[in-house]
Amino acid sequence: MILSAPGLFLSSLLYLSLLFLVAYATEKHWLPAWLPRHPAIYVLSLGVYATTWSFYGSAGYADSNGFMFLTVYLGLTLAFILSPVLLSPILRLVREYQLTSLADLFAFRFRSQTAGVLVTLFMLAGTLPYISLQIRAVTESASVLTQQFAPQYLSLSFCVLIVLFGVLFGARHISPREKHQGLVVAIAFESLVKLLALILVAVVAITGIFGGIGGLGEWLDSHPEALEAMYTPAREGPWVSVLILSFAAAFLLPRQFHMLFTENISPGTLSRAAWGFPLFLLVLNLAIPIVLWAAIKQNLGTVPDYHVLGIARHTGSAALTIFVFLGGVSAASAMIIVSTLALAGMTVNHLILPATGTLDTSVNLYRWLLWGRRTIIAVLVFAGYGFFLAFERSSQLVQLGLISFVAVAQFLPGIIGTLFWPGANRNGFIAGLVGGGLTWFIVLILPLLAGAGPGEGPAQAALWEIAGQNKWTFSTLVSLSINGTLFVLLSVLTGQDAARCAPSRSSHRIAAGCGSLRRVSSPRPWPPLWAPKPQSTRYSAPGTTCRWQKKKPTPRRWHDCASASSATCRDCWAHTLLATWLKPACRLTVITNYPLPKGCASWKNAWRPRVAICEDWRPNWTPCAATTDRCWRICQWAFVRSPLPAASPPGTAS
Amino acid sequence: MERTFLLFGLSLLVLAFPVTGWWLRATLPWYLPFLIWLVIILLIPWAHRRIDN
Repeated sequence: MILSAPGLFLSSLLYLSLLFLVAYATEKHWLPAWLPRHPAIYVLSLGVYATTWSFYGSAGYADSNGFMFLTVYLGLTLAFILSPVLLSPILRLVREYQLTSLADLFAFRFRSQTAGVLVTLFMLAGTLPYISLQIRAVTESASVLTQQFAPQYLSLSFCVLIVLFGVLFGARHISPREKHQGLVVAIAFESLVKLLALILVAVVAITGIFGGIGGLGEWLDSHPEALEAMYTPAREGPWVSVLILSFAAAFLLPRQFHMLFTENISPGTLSRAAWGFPLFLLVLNLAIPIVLWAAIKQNLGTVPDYHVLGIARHTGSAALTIFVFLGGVSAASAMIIVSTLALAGMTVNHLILPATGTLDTSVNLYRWLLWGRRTIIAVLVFAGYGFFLAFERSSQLVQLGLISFVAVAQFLPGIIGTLFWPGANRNGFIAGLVGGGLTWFIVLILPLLAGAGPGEGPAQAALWEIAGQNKWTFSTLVSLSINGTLFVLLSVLTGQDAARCAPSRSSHRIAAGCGSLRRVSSPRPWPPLWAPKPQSTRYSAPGTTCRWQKKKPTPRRWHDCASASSATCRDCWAHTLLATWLKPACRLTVITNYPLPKGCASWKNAWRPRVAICEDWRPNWTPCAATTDRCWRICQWAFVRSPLPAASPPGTAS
Repeated sequence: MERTFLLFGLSLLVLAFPVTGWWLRATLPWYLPFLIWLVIILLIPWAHRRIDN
């Protein structure tokens, strides 16, 4: 059975329209209000982890590496076992301090703009191959069904549709802290489609090709080599290193971080996801060996990466074939949408805004930020498309995915340091990330740029062969070792400098305390841990008009107070979304509710949010700073201004 | 908390160390890796129960 390219295009268009409808119905509350908050929706939305790599590529990976394909999910299961120690503390940090991405988290923890910039750049570099992988999978799956090279318009129009969806439902709100319930339900719907498609193919393979479960058993008995081919490569392959990579990817990939933490509506759902999500992946993967053996039995002749599609086509049912094709479209679109959305937020916050300088007062900064994110989404999708065109036929699907996994694994030392090691500092983090990132680039990316497979350049191959390791084991262990060693060494060697700065030390304890075992074993309600002792003296800058009013309803848009002439904010780094950074030209006065460090000149420059979007209202906030600089307008609305009697400005830092 | 670490340690032992050689054998049923995975998943609520409470 051969399908036509326009037919596939039309079915993709209809499917993505349905996705629009699901998201729109959720946003408009046509669906029950409990639906987006339901743990099952949260679990299914995490299914964004299963991309075309899982949907199509797993069969190919199983064909060449046997049960090794399971390690990509077993490592994730290990991470979710540690959910109370590892994931819950990150969720607490993200919710409490209104962080939206891993870059925000590291920038917050290490008080370093450079850390945020580096994390963003590295995320971008690591994710582009993955985005291109999705575009490639959709294009190649269309080629499999049409039996000819898929026309360029198919992949290009797929990218356009994805951009549209991302812009309309992913970057819908001005503040990235707003939850995108429509997006979450749509991604959950996509996971359901993927799951159903794979289960259907497995059922068809068992009943139609093997004649039932018994037939499968008999076929395996008469073909022991098929079973041996599943076990032998797994015993000899880089089992442990892929396990480590997937452990890290489970929560550090941009899309996973976004769905796990940023879009988490109800913190309690994480405990259900700890077993529900691995169970979802288990059911999804149960189909893979069955599909592979069915393809071998029927001698389908399709590329192993597309055996799932081959089985569906073999049945002769156009409906099933198109449904499976749409399962692949689901897997690709979900990954691209969520990843670009997460990366767009990071890019705007940590790259674009610091580079743009102070905006003209006539510019509606809210609109500017929103359209900035939307533009970045489009740029990222088309950059992935460019990457796809450049490396169209270079590697297996799984290889491109593993490149991204090794990249995000470089954040593992940093996240462990963030949660469990108060002594970790920005020097160590930056040095470790640069060292690990360079190793990743040299070992895996350079050969790819030279036209070889990842890690297969002559110099690189010699290295991992001398080490007697598989290329993935070599690249994982070497990059993580360099990263971890530099992180620890630099943190220890430069620890004294950081220790001089009292607030900085305090913030280190905050982040580390979130993950402390003591807190986990005796959980307390939010907000956690250390609340700095409020000072009896409140500060304000000369001539400011800053006063905290507790019962002021929180405006939801910062332009609500855009007309105000002065700005107020307290300790914005700790309680607000760190959207961007203070330019040296901006005069900033920050008043904290803990004693300012004497003789510590560096702290005020250590963390310089230029724009902070105060989304949350905390009764324990105290009046804050004042500056006439419009840099602070964004957090004005969280406060109300009225003249303070005889305010004196002790201890202000400007 | 102890249960979480206990389950993590056991899972690590079963999934990542030489024990894998025991269950990655063609003489065993093909679904054994999935069965081991399922048992681990079913133990997760048990391991987290006390913390959730």
